[in-house]
Amino acid sequence: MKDCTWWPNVFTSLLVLVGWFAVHFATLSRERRKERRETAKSAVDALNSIASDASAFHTALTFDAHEACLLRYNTEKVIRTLQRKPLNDLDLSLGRMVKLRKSITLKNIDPSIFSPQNIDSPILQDIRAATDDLVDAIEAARDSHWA
Amino acid sequence: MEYKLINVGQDFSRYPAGRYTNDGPYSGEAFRDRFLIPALSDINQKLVIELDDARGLGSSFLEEAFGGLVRAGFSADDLFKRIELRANDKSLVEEIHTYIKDQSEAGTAS
Repeated sequence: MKDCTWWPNVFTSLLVLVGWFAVHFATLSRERRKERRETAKSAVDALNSIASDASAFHTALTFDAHEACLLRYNTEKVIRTLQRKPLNDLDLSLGRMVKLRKSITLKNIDPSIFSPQNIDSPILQDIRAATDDLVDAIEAARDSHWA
Repeated sequence: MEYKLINVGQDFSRYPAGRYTNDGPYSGEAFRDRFLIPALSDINQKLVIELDDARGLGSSFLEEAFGGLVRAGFSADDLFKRIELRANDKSLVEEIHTYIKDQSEAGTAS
């Protein structure tokens, strides 16, 4: 009669292996979600920073060409980031991105028409509203996609 | 119909900026007058406009360049038929279409 005492050992080893894979994949998945949530947080931070820079630019007493250039560049950069992996998974509306760029770079951004804005001017209100709408959309989509 | 390719970043400026010519040499007005209007004046020509190589495209530049085409006498229908915009950033395409449409509606209303 053959000795079958090794079977329980094989079964135990298989169980350990399956358990290890399950834990490994669950950890990987959690890490990926965490990384994506951090990417979303970085985008929100970048948006708030741009809104703050835009507010400083539009309320400044004189036109600053370097700051205008940076604002245009940084606004474009964050909008491009929102359309790339992994943030494109959030399916954010292009209209909100357009609204953001328009609020910052359509009016009062060129030397020929620049004039210092009051803190409650429509331009600053539009910037705040466009930023808040986009931040809200990112946070809502992040919570539903990567909870 | 013939196609003409205009690469904003290579043919005009890597960093276009400003609305009017007195805002700088690479303004929306300069781009419209030097590139878009001459190309569109040939009615048998379609335009393919590549936007990806330009950096920091601002709304005032885009509005003056493309919304300004309607103010210069081109109809929105003609522009939508003859201009193809290429960009990885799809928000640029949407924004330009908005300026053409808005300017056309503003012209109709006045």
